[in-house]
Amino acid sequence: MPALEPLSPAAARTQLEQVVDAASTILLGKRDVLRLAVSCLVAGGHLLLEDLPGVGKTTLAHALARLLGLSCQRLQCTSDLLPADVIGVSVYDRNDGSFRFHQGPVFTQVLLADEINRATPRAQSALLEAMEERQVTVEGRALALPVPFFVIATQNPTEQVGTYPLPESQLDRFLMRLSLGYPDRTAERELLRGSDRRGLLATLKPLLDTATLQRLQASVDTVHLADPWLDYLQNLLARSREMPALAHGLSPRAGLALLRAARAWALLNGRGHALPEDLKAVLPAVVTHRLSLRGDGQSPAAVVEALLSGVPVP
Amino acid sequence: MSTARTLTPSDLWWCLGAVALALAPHAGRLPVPLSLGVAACVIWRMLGALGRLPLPERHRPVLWWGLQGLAVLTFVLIYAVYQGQLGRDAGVAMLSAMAGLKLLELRNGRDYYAVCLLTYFLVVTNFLFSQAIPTALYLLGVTMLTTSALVRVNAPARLPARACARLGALMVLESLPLMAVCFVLFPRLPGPLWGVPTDSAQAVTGLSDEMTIGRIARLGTSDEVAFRVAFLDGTPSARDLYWRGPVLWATDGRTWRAGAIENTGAPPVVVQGRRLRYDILLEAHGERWLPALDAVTYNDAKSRAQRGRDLVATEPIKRQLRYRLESALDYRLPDLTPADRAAALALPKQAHPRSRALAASWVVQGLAPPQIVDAALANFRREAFGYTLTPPVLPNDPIDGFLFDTRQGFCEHFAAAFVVLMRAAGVPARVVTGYQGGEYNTMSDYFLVRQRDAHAWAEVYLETRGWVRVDPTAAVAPERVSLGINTYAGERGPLRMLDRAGFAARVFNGARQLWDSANYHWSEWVLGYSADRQRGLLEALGMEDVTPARLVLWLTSVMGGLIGLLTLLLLRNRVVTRLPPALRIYRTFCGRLARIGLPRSPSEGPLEYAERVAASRADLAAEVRAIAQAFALLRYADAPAGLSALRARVNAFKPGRPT
Repeated sequence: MPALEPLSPAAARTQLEQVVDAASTILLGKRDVLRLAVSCLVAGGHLLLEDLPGVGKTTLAHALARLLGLSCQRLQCTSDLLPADVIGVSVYDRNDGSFRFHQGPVFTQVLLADEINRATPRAQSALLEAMEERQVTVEGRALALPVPFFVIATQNPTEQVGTYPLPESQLDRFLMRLSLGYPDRTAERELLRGSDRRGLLATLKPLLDTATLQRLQASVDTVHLADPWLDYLQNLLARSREMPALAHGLSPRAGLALLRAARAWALLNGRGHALPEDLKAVLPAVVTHRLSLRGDGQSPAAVVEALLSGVPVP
Repeated sequence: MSTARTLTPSDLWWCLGAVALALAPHAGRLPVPLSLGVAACVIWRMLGALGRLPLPERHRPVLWWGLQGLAVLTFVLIYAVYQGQLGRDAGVAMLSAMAGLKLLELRNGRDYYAVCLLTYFLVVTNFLFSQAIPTALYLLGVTMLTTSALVRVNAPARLPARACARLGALMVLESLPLMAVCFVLFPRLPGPLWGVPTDSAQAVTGLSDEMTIGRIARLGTSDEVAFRVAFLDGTPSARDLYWRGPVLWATDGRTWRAGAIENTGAPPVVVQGRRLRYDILLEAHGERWLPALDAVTYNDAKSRAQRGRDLVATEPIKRQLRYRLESALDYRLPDLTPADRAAALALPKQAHPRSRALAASWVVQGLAPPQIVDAALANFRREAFGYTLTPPVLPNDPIDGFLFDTRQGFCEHFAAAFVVLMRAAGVPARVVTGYQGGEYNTMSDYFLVRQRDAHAWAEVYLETRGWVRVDPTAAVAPERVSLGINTYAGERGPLRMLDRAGFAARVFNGARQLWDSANYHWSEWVLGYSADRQRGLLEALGMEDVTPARLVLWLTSVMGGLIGLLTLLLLRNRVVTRLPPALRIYRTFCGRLARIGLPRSPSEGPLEYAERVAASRADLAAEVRAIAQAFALLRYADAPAGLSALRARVNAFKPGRPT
């Protein structure tokens, strides 16, 4: 792939704000979540949406795919989903007497994996391997996935019957986990008055194309990180490792994830450098699903809050 | 810390440990019941902290009033035991009792402080009894522990014990330079402040000005230090190291004494060779005599030479004494007054008949005095006299018994017998006691003379040569004199194995010399740091006309300077050099906002904080946001310029309180 020229922070901001604005017309009153979701995708990370059914997870995924101008496949996960249903199968072609590979839904730019925790661990791991390697192996051949490749997975809270919660190691592969939550009163009223959201989706025009998206991703890497900022990040990681409420602290991979997400967030705010505020903004979304809490009843949100307030900004 | 803070058991361990360790050395010095009582108080408080024993508190009237009664009783008893003399011992007893009782009512932070301060004072009182190096090191440790106890009670409860101990020790170590300055510059008082530690004077059995058979033999095995000598003009050989102590003229047949000789002033010395100057650091021995190398040619005004050229001080040596002498190794003592002659020939009537007979036989042969000396020495050699550290008991006439029956003895037997023979033959003679030899410390260039180097020899007066030293012991056991008693005793004692072990012996001797060297310097420079030495040191440093007033002036200015310097250094380290300029300016800005009631929380980023301030103070919003932006650029974007603009903005930023 040729090196793409990064966009200036201001230009990047304009582009990304357009996407957020457009998505906001579909998903009402969820601007903050949308901004996080967009920065997650710009940072090149996979996104996990976790919430109750009916708050718009799937709508969000579709809207993002459309606005970013990417091809989108949907995979509805069920307990009888097989790895072959994800990756594809080789079918015997009677005409030329050979096997031909039929690509599964994973061969796309945005894979919307609905209710991923309904799939069996076997199917989950097939998908998660694709996420990590950005390629799949079929009959000994490595097949590259399209670029860019995003997985937007949704899952229902795991208390529900018939689900297979993702193990920590696999949760780790998602850059962010977001919850939408209920809309506020005005937004809900507008939702009730307005027309069908799915119908509106169809009216969305792509705002970006693949090349622009790649340039945006390249811009993320140019966001400047000053020494005090890295100190702050390291202090946060160190603090998480000595907090009594946590069984394990944050891993170096979590640190890298924070770094990428914060850079994307800075870019979204039109800045060529990252501020401690950027880190604080993305930290709950990036780390909450990676924390292993000790079972003493503290909510993850409270722990994250304690983590942030326990580390001074250098 | 607030004085109302409840003390946790872990706080108490520190404090109780410090008190117990500060009191421990006193345990043997206090009356036994008091020691036991104080120990009981410490243990009671420990069990109380664990909840095993009730403590005397107001809601337990029996215990409470019992404690008050016990306190009064203790003080009455101490008063009675020490008969109302509130000196050092009674004072320490009082203080220890108070410390023990105070522990029982140790409840809150205020009590804790009181106990810690009391502990510091208890540490000081230990120096009234001993000022040796181990004591000083031990008490330094106790001081650190006490300081750590204060750190502990002021620190957050979760601070680990190691951190408390570290900080406490560090604070004490940091104060050592100030302590050294105080030590060097504080005006020295002419006398000891509290009376001196008497431990050394009480324990030592030194050479006395009497000699009874058997006494020196006991010294023969004592390792105690007698004195140390540093030569200024080169060291003499071992065989010249005769340290003259009391000269004994009079005898009753068994015991020798200085005698009531008329003191007509020190006789003159005719010096023939060069003179040596040397410093002696004498351990306290409770007597007045001062050892000196034969023969002394110069001594200072604090000592006086006697008829026998032996030196005495004006008062008994109750504390370590340092003095400078000059001696000549090649000398003559030509003076003999009629009174001297009479004293040097006196023998008790009817005593020593066999000895008199032997001496008479030499006179009958018509031998001249020098030949009589030779005859006596030849007699010692011929008759198989033996040198031993454990001579047999001589119940009757010890001189005759030694000369003709047992023939086994130590230097004093030989010296006394020789002098008796001389006197019986009409040759004036006297016994000289003192020390012979010494151990050379190669590390610090001085001689160490121990009590076991004590020796006795004789002097005879020959018309042609004056007083001449004759060491009859050397005639029998020459190696005792040439090698010193250490090696001599080692040849036949348990040290023999060690001596032969080579390497082990060298290591052992090296360690011993190092330790003694440390003690020597400690005595010289710490304990012996007198007003004279102080003046000498400060004059060497270029300070003139040292008076107490000037010392105080110097002390205050040096201390002030040091503390000021330290403060500056700490400030530079903690605030100025560690903070980049942008952050420093930003802190100023935050400080100004804090003063109007909007402090920044430590975990708040600059823009976040600016938004919060803007939300509550719309009038400041624009300026605060601008400053935050400028700071964020400098700090997190490493912007090359804008520092002066930020400084100007912050300097101009003077938020008023909301109206």
